[in-house]
Order: sequence, then structure tokens, then C-alpha cells
Amino acid sequence: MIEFLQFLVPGILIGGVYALLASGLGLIFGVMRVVNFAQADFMMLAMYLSWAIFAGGVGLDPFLAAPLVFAAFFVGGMAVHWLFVRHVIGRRENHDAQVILTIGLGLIFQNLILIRYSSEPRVVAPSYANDGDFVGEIFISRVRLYAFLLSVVVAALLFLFLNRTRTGRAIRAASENWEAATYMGVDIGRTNLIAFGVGTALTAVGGSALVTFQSITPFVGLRFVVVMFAAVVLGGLGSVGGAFVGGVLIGIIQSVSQVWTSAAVKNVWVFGLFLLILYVRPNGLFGKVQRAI
Amino acid sequence: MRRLVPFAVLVGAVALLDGRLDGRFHVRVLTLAIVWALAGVAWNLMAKAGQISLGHSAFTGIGAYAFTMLLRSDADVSPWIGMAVGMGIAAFLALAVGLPTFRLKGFYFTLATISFPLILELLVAHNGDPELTVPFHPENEWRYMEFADAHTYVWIGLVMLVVALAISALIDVTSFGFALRAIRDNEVLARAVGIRTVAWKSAAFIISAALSAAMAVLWVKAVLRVTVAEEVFGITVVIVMLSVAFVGGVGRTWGPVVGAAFLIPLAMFLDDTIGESVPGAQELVYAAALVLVALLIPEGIVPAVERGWERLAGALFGSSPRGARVRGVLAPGPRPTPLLRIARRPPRRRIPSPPATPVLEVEGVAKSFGANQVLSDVTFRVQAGERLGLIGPNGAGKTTLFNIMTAHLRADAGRVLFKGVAIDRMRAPRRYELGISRTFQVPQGFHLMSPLDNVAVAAIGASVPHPMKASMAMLERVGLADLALAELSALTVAETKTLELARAMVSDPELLLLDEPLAGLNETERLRFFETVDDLVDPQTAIVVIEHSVRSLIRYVESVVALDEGRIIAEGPPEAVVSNPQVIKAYLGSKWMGHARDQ
Amino acid sequence: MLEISELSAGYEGIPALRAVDFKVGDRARVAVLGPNGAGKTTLLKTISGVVAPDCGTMRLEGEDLGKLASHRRVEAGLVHVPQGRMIFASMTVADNLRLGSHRAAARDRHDERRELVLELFPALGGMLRRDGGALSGGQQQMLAIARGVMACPRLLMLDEPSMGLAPRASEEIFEGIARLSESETTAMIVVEQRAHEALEICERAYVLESGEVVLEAAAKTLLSDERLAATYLGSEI
Repeated sequence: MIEFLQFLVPGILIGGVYALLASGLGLIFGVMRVVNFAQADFMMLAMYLSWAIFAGGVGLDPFLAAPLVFAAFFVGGMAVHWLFVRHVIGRRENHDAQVILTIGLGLIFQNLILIRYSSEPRVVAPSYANDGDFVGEIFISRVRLYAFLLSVVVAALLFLFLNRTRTGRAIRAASENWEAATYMGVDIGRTNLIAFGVGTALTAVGGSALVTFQSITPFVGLRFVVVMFAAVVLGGLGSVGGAFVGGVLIGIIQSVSQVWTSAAVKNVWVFGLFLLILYVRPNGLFGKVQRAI
Repeated sequence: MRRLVPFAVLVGAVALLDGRLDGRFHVRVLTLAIVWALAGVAWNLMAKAGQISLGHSAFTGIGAYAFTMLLRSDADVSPWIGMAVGMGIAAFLALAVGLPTFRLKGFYFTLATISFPLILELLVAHNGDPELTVPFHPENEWRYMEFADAHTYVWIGLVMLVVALAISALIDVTSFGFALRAIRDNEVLARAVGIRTVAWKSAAFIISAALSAAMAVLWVKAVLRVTVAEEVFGITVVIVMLSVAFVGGVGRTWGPVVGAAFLIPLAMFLDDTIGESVPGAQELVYAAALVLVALLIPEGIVPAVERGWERLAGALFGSSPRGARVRGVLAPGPRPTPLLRIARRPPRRRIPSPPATPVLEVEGVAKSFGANQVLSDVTFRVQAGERLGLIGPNGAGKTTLFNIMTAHLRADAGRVLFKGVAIDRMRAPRRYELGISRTFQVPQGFHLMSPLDNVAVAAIGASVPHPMKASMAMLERVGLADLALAELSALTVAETKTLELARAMVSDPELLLLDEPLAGLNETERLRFFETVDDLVDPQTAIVVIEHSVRSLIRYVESVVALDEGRIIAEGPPEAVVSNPQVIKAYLGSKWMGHARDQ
Repeated sequence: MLEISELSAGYEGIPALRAVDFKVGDRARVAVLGPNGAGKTTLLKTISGVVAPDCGTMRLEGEDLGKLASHRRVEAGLVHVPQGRMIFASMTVADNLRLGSHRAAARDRHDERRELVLELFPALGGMLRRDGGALSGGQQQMLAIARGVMACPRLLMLDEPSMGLAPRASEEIFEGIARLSESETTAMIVVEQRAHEALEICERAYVLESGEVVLEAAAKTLLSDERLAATYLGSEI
């Protein structure tokens, strides 16, 4: 039992970060039906930005730098949307162009970073990086706890934004029924732009949360891409709340699997679960199954 | 013969290049261009059905590991046999991966493919060897595929590429290719005209996976020389496949050859010159290609050039290059050629009908969406040769009823029988094979195909003998022969509706379901439409028409069923139904009757 | 107020409107009648900019609508209550109403307008916290209209407000619309199948058939015009 808890608690903590990473992907899909394969590379870029802020003289703690990262990626995400993504949405059933555009963008980010910073792993180690506390017999790492708390705070702010602000409500309306939202006077082009910015920034802050215990390379995104997709699909494509629940569940499964199998293959569980969901409940744990007749 | 020209050009070009190149690097570039063209051709087979795979590195990984492990084993298996084994395993895995997603709508296939190579790579790296050296056997060149002369790999690669291209080109001209194009173009319609979409997608995926596994053996033997899990299962494999296929033309047989001819030399020369200082240069070429193609020419170079050439030829010679009489631009894509029937099915088994069994029986059908009861206890019958009209104001439940009859929706209660057989849960292709045809409220078409091919797909779906001939004959009967090769968008509304009818009738159905066939037609076109129907149908064919325009409908049908609030409020001969007070009330409002009486 | 001339439009290549001339005066209430598939919904969707016209002009108080994106037309005061209600099912009734106030001119008047719509449709009062999807068909229709009224429209377009509703629910809807026309001076276009109900609340009416205007008359005269019934059912009554 204790052994189980020793894996469960870190699973919940990392699951909170996955939830944050996935919520950005879920928001973007929900509002404009774009599966953004470059999402994990936004995370990677944010990790490099956190590292640059921390190691590059300013010395600002990545958790404290999170608002800066959010702002930078909100603007950056909107720029990417305006320059590239908006040209491949709206055309009906245009998944091909969306898939290759976002894959291509992700690849460009990876290789530009590779050229600038090489593939040498970078580490952000604040003074408390190895600290932690025992709660009973369970060790809780300080940085992972902070990462989880950061995720909770951002999740709460996102909830307030989507439910309490005019723009947030417009985004929810557009993701439920863009035509009806148009009749309300919602500018769909604008909600798409803002939703892409917010979605990018959410995942970026997820990167800030990870950076204190995950070493950074140009290709670190590849390790998280399926985790993010698994969380989003588990919670139901397009549902931001679902992506949160999905993220936490993925964190738990990944961590608890180590009770039975070695840590090296923990992601096999995640990938396998992802497939299983796609096969049996493609619209998520809470969604309906739609099949061709 | 025309189809053989590109093969000759390809072999000639490779021979010319191979004769002139002698530096190791140049031969390597040529070999890799061939290897990736082969990979792209394999990947593109799946794209012919509109399915984007991001997991083909699972198959290259399997191909590479299978032959390496067999060669390293005590059995000392030749790479040629190892290649065959790898192809078999890859094909089997493809079926296991693909099948569960092939019945789902949307891009679940693409999502599902992402995780397979990752799982395999993790398992291989953890439980096996992340890196396997390939034993060096210079003593027997052919048995071990171990050639001292690098040019030999070029020729082996060329043979494999030609075989893959031949398979792909053959698919294009058979009913297999028609089915894949139909699926890519409009999957719902493809199923409605009898195309067994799951089976065709599976077949394409199996061949595609096997060819990818074969390509991996050549890749490792000729270039890599060592089997590294990170590389053979890696995402880069997928990226290169995507780039060469999309740049050349997604789904097009010759697309990847064109894409590889552009991209691979460019990427490798960049890597050779500035690779030292700019480590990601090669990948940036692929990435930039993907982004540019997505934004500028999503269809790829081959179709774009083809289209441009046909425009030019049309402008210069006043007609298309092949002299077809066409309005608008000639539809892109392979032209109809005599079909090689590769999937011979026995002609459709019709249900032998006991005398006096109605063709269609709707029994006690009910349906609700949430709190809204849309249909309750709807019952009616249609006899052979009968024409029945289904009317009712907006929101009466007509479309819901039609969707239940065509199995797009499932009823909460009740049954739908065709000649005594329940069809309300039967899949679309099977219903079509039994002899039920339908049209759509918003006319559906295969927009990447000519009108002739649109009908031909339906003929293939119904296993009509000589489908191309039968389709052309059908177009002649409905007066669209002149437009047989036009682009679908060049047709007028009336022509589009007539084409829908031709497509529905080419299978000689026993039950024809028409969903608002008159929408968008003017008065004369409406009369002509029903004349065409009468001209085409067998006297025994039963017809059910849903129609908004009651005025036009009642002149055509023999009986009418009127729905309001999900219930049948009147049925019988048209004149009786439209003068029924209940019906007038439903259409004009409850107060109208009282008002009319006051007059 | 709204002036449309020679307007043609269609979906996916199927023409639904052919050279329609159509006018709404200041504070006028105009009914658009006609059988299913006559082009009534397309007319409204073209006015609100969801369907692009093939040709023709649309002017709102002299301003060319063709140049405005759909959300700008809402800002200009053109508010469309669509067919099939299209309420936001996963959002509460209160949030649905809030979205109704999305228009800049309506934002500051949210509370005042909410009181008004709850007077028009008292049934909504007790359901503010419920999800839109949990309402019955009639209540959803009330919500859809209420949501449109929240925007302080200058021209309110109602598309088939009684569609798919039982007689009692549809009566309640029309009562609400009648109360609205008493308390508000907004101009209105009412697209309806149930001709009588629509004619009772409007002054003028257009009858569409196969995308063309076949009749245009004062509501009172149409009430006794047999040609109207003929366009619906094709027979003399």
C-alpha cells in the first residue's frame, strides 16, 4: 500500500503538469479543430526560454518567470496563428494541410534550437532542486510540488477566464457552435487568434513547470507529444476540462505502472492506453462513440 | 502505353546518372533518393484513401530488425528471406493497428498511428538491443546482399522502386484504386454506393506496410550498415516520407519520385557543405518543404503541373489534350481505363421475394433526441412499383425518418424491413448490394472524379458487369454523355441532380429513396426530373420521395404519408391528403382553418 | 431601414434565392412566408452574412452590408435568431443570455435587458442556472429569442420560432413575441410556416416560393388570400 502511494503521489503531481500541457492542445482543437502537432515544441521553446532567463544572467527562478513565459508565448502563439495557421483552417476537411503545416513548424523550431544551442542537454537547477519533505513515509519533491501548484493556479485562472470574461465566454461559445457564436456578434477570426495564443501560452507554462526536473534538449517535445495527445483524447477531443482530467490520469498511470514494470517502459503504458482509448472510446471517457454506418 | 513512359524515363535517368557518378557521395545521394522515393510510394498507397499515417516508422523498424536479427541468428538467414519475413510481420501489424480505426469517422487513424513506432522502439531498446551491427559477409555477394560495388545497390533499389510503382499504378487503374479514391473523396457516399471501405483501407495499409519493411532492408544494407532503433523506428523516417509524398503529390503514384528527386539531393548537399556548422540543415529542408506545401500547393507538384499543362493545352488547342468534349477544365486524376477487376465478387444476391411482400415496411418507428420526441409510432408500407411521397412541415420529423430508413440513425423502437429483411442496422454497402439506392438532400459527389467515374464507382460497388460501359450507357440515357469527363463543379444544379439519379440507378435498385430531389430546381426542371426517373426505373421499383415542394410532388406520387410532430396525420391518395384539415393545419397553423371557415 | 434588391444566393451551388427584392421599413414587422425549401432561411442567413450572396445589394439604413463581416452586422444592430435554436447547450441559461449581450452597444445594458426578457418569457426565470441543453424544446426556443433580444437589436430576425414545437409551446412563443412587439420598437422579420400566427403579429408579408417572391401584400389582405395556401399545398382549398 505504501509502495503504491509512493508512486501515486508523484503521479498526481506530474499529472497536474500534463494537464496544463494538454489543456492548451485541447483548447486549440476545441475552438478551431486543428490538431496542433507543434504544441510540444512550444513547450520545448518555453523550456529554453526559462533556461535562458535562469542561466542567462537574470537568474530568475523558473516558477517566478512563468508569467513572463506566458506573456511571451501568448504573443508568439498569436503570431504563429496569424502567419501560418489561419491559412489552413476554415477550409473544410483540410486536415492534410493542418497536419503537415504543424509538423513542419515543430520541426523548424527543433532544428533552429539545435543550430543555436546544440543538442547538449541543459538543466535548470535552483538551489532547492533536490529538496523535499516526507509526509509520513512518502517523499514529496519540492520542485514537483511547486510545479503542481503552478498548474493548479493556472488552471484556476483559465477557468475564470473562460467563465467570467467576455472573451472567454466568446471562446467557449465559438468552440461549441461557431455559427451561433457568429449570430451573437462574436468575431471568429479574433477568438481563433486569442484561443491559439492562450493555448500556446498554457502549454508553454507547462514547460516552465517541467524545467526544474526535466533536462532540456531540442527534441524533448517528442517525449511529451503522445502524453499530451493521450490526455486530450482520454478527456474527449476538444474539451478543456476533459484534457485536465485526462492529464492527471495519464500522470497517475505512468507513475503507478512502475509498481509492476521498470521505469524505462512506463511510457509504453501511456502509449498503449492512448491506443486503447482510440479504439474503444474514441470520443473520450465521457463522450459517445460514433461509427460509420 | 502512355503509362509506361514515366517508367522508361525513370530507368533512363537513373542509368544516365549512375553511369556518370563515381564519387562515393554522389552514389550515396542517388541511392538514398531511390530509397526515399520507394518509402514515399509505399506511404502514399495509404494516402490514396485519404489516410495520413504518422507511424510508418513502425514498419521500417520491423523490416530492419527482422532481417538483422535473422541474419545474426544461428540460422544465418539471408537478408532476402529476412526481407520477406519482415514484410509479413509488418503486414500483419498493419492490419492489427489499422482495423480498429477504419470504421471511425475523423482522423483517428492518424492519431492512432503516432504511438506504434514509439511503443516498438521503447520495447526494442529496453528488452532487446538499441543497436545491432549487421554481420559483414563479403564472401557471397548475392546471398548476403553484400556488394562491393555501391552501384549494385542503386540497381537493386531501382528494381524495387519500379515494382512498387507498378503496384501503385496498377491499383490506380483497377476497382481497388477507384474504391480508394472514392473513400478519400467522400467516404459516406462511397459506403452508400457499396464500397466496402474497411476492407479496401486494410488492403492498402497492408501493402503499404510491407513495402516499407522491404525498403528498410535496402536502407540498412546500402546506407546505414547498422540497425539503430532510434533511427529505423525514428520520427525522421515519417518526416521524410511525408515530405517527399506531399511535395510530389499526396496519393499520386509518381508524386514521391518527383518529391525525392527534389528534396533528397538538396538536403544532402546542404548537409555535406554546411552540415558541420549547421547540424539541422537537412531536417530544415524537409520542414520548410512541408510548411510551404501546406500553405501554397496542398495538392503537390504533380497535380499542380498536370493542371497547369491542361489549362495551357486547353488554351492553345481549344480543347483538352485528348480531344474530349469538355466544359470547364478536365477533371484531374487518372482517366477511366478498362478496368481490371481484381476483386471478383459474385453478382449481387437479391432477396427472393415471396409474392405480396411489401418492398419496404416501416413498423412502429420512434425516436427522441434528449427530451424531444421526434418520431412516435410511425408505420407504413410501400409495395413493388409504388411511388410514395413523404410530406410534412419543417421539424415534422421527415429527415429523421429518412435517416432511420437509410440507417444513418438508429430508431429507439420499431423496425424497417426491406422485402421482409430488417435493414435498420445493416451497414450501408450491404444495403446497397441488396438493391436499395438513395440520393442526398445536398447532392453528394466525388469531386475529384469525372461524372463518368462517379457513376462507375456505383457500378463497381454493385458488381455490375463491365462497369465503365454500363456507366457510359447510363450517362447517355440521362443525357449527360457530353459531360462524361467534365469537372463536377462545371455541372449545373439540374445536371448534378440528374447525375445523382444516374448513380443511384446504375445498380438497377428495387427500392429508390429520393431525399428532397427537387430543391434548387425550377418548375420545368422539376417536371423533367420526374420524367427522367420514370424513364429509368423498372415498373417493379418502389420509390419513396421526401419532398418540400408538395405542389410538384403530388403530381408524381400515387400515395402520400403526411407527418406532423413526429406522427402520421394522414395517408392515402395525394388529393385526399392535401385537403385533409389536419394537414392544412400542420402547414398553415392552427388558426388558419378557423379563419378559412369564416370566409 | 433594410433594403435588398436583386439578391441571389445559394448553398454548395444550389440556388436558393433568385433576384429577390425585399424591404423592411423603420419599426416595421415583416413576415416571410412560404413552404419548406422556398429560400426563407437562406434569405436571413444572407442578411446576417453567414451565406455569401452571388449577386445583389443589401443596405441597412443606406450602409452597404456586403462589405461587413457577419459580426460587424451584429454590431450594426442586425440580430438573427437562427432556425433550430442553436442555443449553447453546455452553457447555463444565464451564460447564454450573457452571450446575447456580446454586442458592444448591449454590454452595459445587460441587467436591464435581462429583466425585460424574463418578463417576455417568465418561464426562463427559474432556470438561469440550468444548462441550456437540459431545457425542453419550447424553453430552448424562448432562450434563443431572449438571447437575441439581449443584444438590443435594431432589426430582429426570427427564423421559424415555432418549428418542431407542440401547439401549446408555440402559442407561448408567439405570446412572448407579441409582448415584445408591444414593449419594443425594434423592427422585425419573422420567418414562419404557420402563416396565421405570423400574419397576426406583422403588418406586411412576403411569400417566397422556389427562391422567388411570389406575393407581397399587407398582412391583413394575405390572411384571406387563397393563393397563400396554394403555394404551400398546391391545391385549392
